[in-house]
Amino acid sequence: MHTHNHPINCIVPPYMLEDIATKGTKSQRELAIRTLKTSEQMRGQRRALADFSGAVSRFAAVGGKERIVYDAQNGSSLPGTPVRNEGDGPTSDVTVNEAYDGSGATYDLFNDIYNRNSIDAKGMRLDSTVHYKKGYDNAFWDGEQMVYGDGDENLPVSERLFNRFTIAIDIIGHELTHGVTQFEAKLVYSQQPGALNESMSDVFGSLVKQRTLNQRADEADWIIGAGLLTENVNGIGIRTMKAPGTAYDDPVLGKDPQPGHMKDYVNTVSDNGGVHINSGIPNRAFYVTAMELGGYAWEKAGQIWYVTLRDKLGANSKFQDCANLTYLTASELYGNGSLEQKAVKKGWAEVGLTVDGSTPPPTTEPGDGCLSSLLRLIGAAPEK
Amino acid sequence: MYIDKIKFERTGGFAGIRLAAEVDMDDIPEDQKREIIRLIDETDFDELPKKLSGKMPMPDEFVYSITVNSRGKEHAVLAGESSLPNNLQPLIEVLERIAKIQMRKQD
Ligand SMILES: [Zn+2]
Repeated sequence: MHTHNHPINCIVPPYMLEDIATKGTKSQRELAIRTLKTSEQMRGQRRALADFSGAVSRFAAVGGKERIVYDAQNGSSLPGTPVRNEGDGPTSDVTVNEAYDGSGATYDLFNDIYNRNSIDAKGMRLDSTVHYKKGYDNAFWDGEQMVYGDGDENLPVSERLFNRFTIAIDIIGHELTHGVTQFEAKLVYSQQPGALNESMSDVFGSLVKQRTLNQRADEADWIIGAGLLTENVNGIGIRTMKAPGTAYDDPVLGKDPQPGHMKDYVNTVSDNGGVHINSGIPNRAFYVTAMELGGYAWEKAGQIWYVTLRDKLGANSKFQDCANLTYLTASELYGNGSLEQKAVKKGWAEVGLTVDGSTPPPTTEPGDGCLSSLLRLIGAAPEK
Repeated sequence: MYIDKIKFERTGGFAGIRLAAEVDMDDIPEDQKREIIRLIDETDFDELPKKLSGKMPMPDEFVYSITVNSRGKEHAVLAGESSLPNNLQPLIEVLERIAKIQMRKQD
């Protein structure tokens, strides 16, 4: 057997292997596998190699965007009856079509902009269930699929507070991003890591909406769940990333409890430690960063947040970690002292967090040099 | 079981909007009172742990807190939607209904 003489003196993280598997041509992938097999460093890394081969075959088996929308018919068993498959035309049910289109737009954002093939980066099918239970005023990600209630559809119109939960495309993006987080940073759903988990879902949910509407940062409304509240409620939506705490103020629902600054951080045992409350703080940091950078928010600000979610944040990361790590990512992507890095610093400063760029980068990637050399080897080196 | 009062709270959910009720057993209709007592007895409420957390919380699921006050003794149970035992579900539904009515009466 011919031994390729490009020694790769590093352990390539599995996600990188998967990236190569999805990006490279067939011969590039074979070359990469062969090289890895002959590399000293890969001895004892059989599991990683098995993952790699698996990734190649799974990728080959999956075409890309694949969606199924199910109807729970107001029951609680999941997933329910399939009512629209990938490629099927619209149905007469607006809720089904919203779930289909919204999950498609979310897939497209992650795929086209961040080069990520679905939730798990391996082409996982996007399953949604609509019409879950009766009078179910919620939507959630159950670890495998999205689930949407119809709001207060079982009450007289004059008493309804919530519309159907597929009504806002950012809610769909929000739920799917919980899936991405589950496969990447795995942020624990409690306290600050939980609020970061929530914030990531709002960030990419809002970016799905902005991209669908082709809006620049200064044209977007930055509202999460616009249209979800009925006319009986005094409110513009569920949350606002621009001005946390001002989305609604209503005699029945109360007032939006979100803080937009660390000085107003809410300590509570409710809501898994305020995950839907304190997410206002990192939400606003993203908004300020995106506004500083101008243009389409999904391009630079979104890229910085995405790479941080994918490669940097861990299960127990807190707001300060996220500030430091987005700052680090900005320097890796756009250079130390770049405008992008300054925008990130300003974003967090506005919410009361000073980025600490003095600590050395965490060694999540053992030597960027080996990564670049591997990418060059298979002809997939990123442009600088 | 004799019950003086029940405090109910639902937090979390995608919207993160709090829903809460205080049910004074003397203030509700007799048939509703009987239903609630029956539902609580069926769950062996006193025996339930303070925190029901079978699995990791599902993102955006509701979080429920039920506190039963009986002759000055309080027992509180906290549970996420995914870790709710089946027999607690009907009680949650009744309390949710009461809370929604109470909320609308506040203004
Ligand atoms: Zn969420």
